[in-house]
Amino acid sequence: MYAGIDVGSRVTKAVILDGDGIRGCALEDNIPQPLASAHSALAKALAASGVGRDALLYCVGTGYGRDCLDFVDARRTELSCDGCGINFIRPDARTIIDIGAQDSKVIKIDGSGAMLDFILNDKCAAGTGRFLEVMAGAIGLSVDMLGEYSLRSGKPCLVNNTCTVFAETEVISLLSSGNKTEDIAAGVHKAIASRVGNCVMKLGAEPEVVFAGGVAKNQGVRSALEQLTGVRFATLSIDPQFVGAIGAARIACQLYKKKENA
Amino acid sequence: MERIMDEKTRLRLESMETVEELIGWVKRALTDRPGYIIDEKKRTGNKIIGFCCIIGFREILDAAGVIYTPPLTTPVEDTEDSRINTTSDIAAGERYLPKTFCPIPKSMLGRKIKGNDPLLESIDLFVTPSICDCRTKAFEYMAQLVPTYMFDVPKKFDEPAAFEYFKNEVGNLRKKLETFIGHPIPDDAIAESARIFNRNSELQYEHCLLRRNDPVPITSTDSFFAMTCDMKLNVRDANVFLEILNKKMRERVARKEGFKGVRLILAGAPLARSALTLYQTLADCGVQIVAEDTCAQARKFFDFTSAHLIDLNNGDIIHALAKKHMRLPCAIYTPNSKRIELLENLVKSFNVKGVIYHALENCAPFNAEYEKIKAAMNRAGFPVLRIDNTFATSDREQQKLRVQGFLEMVGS
Repeated sequence: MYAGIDVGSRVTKAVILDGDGIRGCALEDNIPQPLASAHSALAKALAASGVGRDALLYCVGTGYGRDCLDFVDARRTELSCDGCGINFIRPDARTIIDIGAQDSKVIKIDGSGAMLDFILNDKCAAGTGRFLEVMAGAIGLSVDMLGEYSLRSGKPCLVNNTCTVFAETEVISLLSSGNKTEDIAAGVHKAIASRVGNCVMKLGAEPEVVFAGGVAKNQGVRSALEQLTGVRFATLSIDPQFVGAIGAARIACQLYKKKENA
Repeated sequence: MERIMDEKTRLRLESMETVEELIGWVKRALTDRPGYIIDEKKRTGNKIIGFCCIIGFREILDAAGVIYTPPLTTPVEDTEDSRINTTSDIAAGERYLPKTFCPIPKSMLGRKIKGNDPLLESIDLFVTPSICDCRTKAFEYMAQLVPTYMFDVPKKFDEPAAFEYFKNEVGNLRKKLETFIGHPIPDDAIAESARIFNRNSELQYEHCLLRRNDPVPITSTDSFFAMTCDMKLNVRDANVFLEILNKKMRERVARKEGFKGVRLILAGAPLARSALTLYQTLADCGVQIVAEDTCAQARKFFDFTSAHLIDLNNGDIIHALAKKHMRLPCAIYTPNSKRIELLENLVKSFNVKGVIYHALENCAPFNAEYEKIKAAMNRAGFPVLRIDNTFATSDREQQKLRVQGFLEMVGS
């Protein structure tokens, strides 16, 4: 068994993999601190797989908090892990758009899942899950409801500011001018799509294009991005939040075999 | 300008065993330099001229007999001391200049406005080329605070009429300096200074070539100090230092010793103060930068076939100087295809896996050339990673993720 642990800025994901496929996965909020969440997520994923910790042959950590994982055998960036994870699920994928809580990235991969090029968002919250959280808060919705609400919109509002703080002010003023919640939500999604869409256009979107990361669960952002880029995203058979952890587990398997053969 | 390299110091440097010991000496010398310069001014009454670019015509300043220096007491890290805090310098500069201006001239102007940097305060005249818009406009404000002479740099690199105009500008710069110091600067004095700067170019060129070796005989941070020490020290002292340093590097190469790592080229905007943070981040990730396409480093030797010396056989020394300085492939020129040629030569001859492109926040000319450079490098089979850098030290973690991802991509 191989484990991949993806310590994101908000949530830690753990995946257990064996030769045949995914045996179990789990996620845990990063509260109070990432290392504890990683232990807990791994324990849950192991329990879901029906095996104990001693069954683990190799463990790879990824995500922004990977350096805090003192028990892993190796660490890789979320960029490599995304490529490897997506390749496991969709071998035909060549472009990955990943929007997480703290950053967004576009990665081009080859047929083996190896990275060919990548681009990350600028150093600010615009174009990330955090942007959505702040806007959902301003609208008065939970972030999970934002996507569903936005799909009811007939006339999305225009949210111009890319700065999260200014965009929040803009959303508040849209609310006070009597705009509908769903139109504002759709506007917020268009704003985030335009930020990330710029990165997609810079790198070029080669099919199949997949959408991963926690924000990929938001149907509103997904449809806004599809509209903007003119590309229909390939479907994923698993929760898009787990892509990085799956990639880490797969790299764990590769590294273990390399070590055995050495 | 005062020299610090007496025979005793030279012998001491020669007796040093390692490249690192020598760099330790030069770092201390650079740290002490502002104090020396200020003392020298007090003692001799000589004027201090601040020059602000590699196209600073130091050959003429040297021949004029003045003290000349880059204007800032450059700190290695941001400190609590507000006197040398870049963030507060930039904030002060933004009193006059837009937020979207390059941080280099903005921090320089800001520190002058704050008025608490002893070196900057002792400068009697600034000499600066009209390089980019940010620098040009910043020095229009600087001129309100301290005498400033700006000479113009035409942007069309290869145009014969542009060269004639530039040569005329250099002649005017000389006249301005002669008026300022109150006596003529003879041709033969300029030629003699040019000869010393030529020697500096030869030594720097040799230094660059020595870094082609694997393992590389010097770290990129140490090389940065070596390659820029001529800006602050007396160039004669810098030459003695580089001769000894190059010898130690040659010995290290002969022993096949040095530094291993993922070999990369660093290209892009001027590094200035942010260089050390970036180098450190790269080193932490296991990178060895072995050549830099930056103005203080390999960019000067753009076709990598010679040290590109000032032609001392040309009867017109001003013509020869203008010829040398107008050939540096800076992003302000158009078209700037020579820079692509340089990078193609660098990636092919330095045995590297790729290129890091340093994009300095709001440095429009260099940031704009990124896509062109990236396309050319990709055509040659080399991946490029763009690192967006502010002038501060706060973005190290963000940079690290990008660098680590890039290294995984190039298979290291």
